[in-house]
Amino acid sequence: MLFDTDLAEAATMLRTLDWTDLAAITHASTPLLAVLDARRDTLHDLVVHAIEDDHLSGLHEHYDILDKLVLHDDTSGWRLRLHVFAPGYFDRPHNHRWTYTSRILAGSYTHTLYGSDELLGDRETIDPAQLTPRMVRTETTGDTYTLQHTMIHAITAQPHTTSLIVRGPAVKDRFLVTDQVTGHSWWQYGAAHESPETAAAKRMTPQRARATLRRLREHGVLGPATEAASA
Amino acid sequence: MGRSPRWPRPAWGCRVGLVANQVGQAPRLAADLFHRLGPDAAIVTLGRFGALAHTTRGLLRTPAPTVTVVHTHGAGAAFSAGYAQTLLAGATLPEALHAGCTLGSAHCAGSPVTAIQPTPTPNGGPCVIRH
Repeated sequence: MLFDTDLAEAATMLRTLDWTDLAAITHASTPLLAVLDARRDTLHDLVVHAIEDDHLSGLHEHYDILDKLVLHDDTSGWRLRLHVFAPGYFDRPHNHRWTYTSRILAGSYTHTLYGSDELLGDRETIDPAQLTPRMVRTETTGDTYTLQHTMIHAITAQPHTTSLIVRGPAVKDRFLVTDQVTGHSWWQYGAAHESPETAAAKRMTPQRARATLRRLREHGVLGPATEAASA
Repeated sequence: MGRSPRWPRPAWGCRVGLVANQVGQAPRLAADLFHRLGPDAAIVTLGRFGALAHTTRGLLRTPAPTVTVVHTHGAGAAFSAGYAQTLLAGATLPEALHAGCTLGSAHCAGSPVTAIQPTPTPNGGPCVIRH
């Protein structure tokens, strides 16, 4: 791992964190994200390392509207990820298997919050028509927020919006997805439950990873590599 | 509105527009139009704020790309063109809304747009994004 002293200190805080305490998560995650936001050369090094590293390269995901790069996979369960939203990105209202803190490095997105999945009560799923936006925000460059895993939300992103995320350990094995067009909702299981074919379809190829790196450079999201990494 | 055989239910008495400082009332306006006219979707365009649609499935929103506006004459027509062409090509309503906003913004920026780029399906097409 390429973390220097400052980043290692921030990473250590995350290892001993109570991932049910949103204030503590925000307090511990924000310094790491802010340092990497300010030090785009170091971020550049992390992305290059993530693309070349055998373990991390197997964790990157590619979809037609989203690229996810895993920059760090901590043994304690948290991960540092870079998300790059392609033109036309929007997703269906969903929640997560984990709590996360996100910092917008470039671009912006409309963030619609519908409330906790506790609104399901005893029901297994929900009629998407019953979802009511409780807050609509614009998350823009420099913004940081923490979202609890139960929160149902949706994002519509401007092209090439890029965010850096501290993703906490998974606390459940499935997440809720709702489709307001078809009127269906369902629980989707994580990677461990996917068929090899499905997992392979989501895995980012090395070629795609290098293309993502080029695009991040072209858009100015990454600064020049550090001298140490260039040597 | 209200005189077309396509829309036999009259819209008399129904507001059909907003001024700039009434953007917050757009969801109510869309709902009102939807219930009075009974279309598949009632769409309200919001200029630089994008557009929203009221459907039987609820409310959908799409932001507009950020552009430097040269002029706004014909912006609504450009939105409608992008929306209709994309919908007729078999896309979903969110995709059509996005295309409408994209073409409307490009028009306002004075960009020559000769074709609407196909937009992706939500959550990665055949692959559901891991959340």
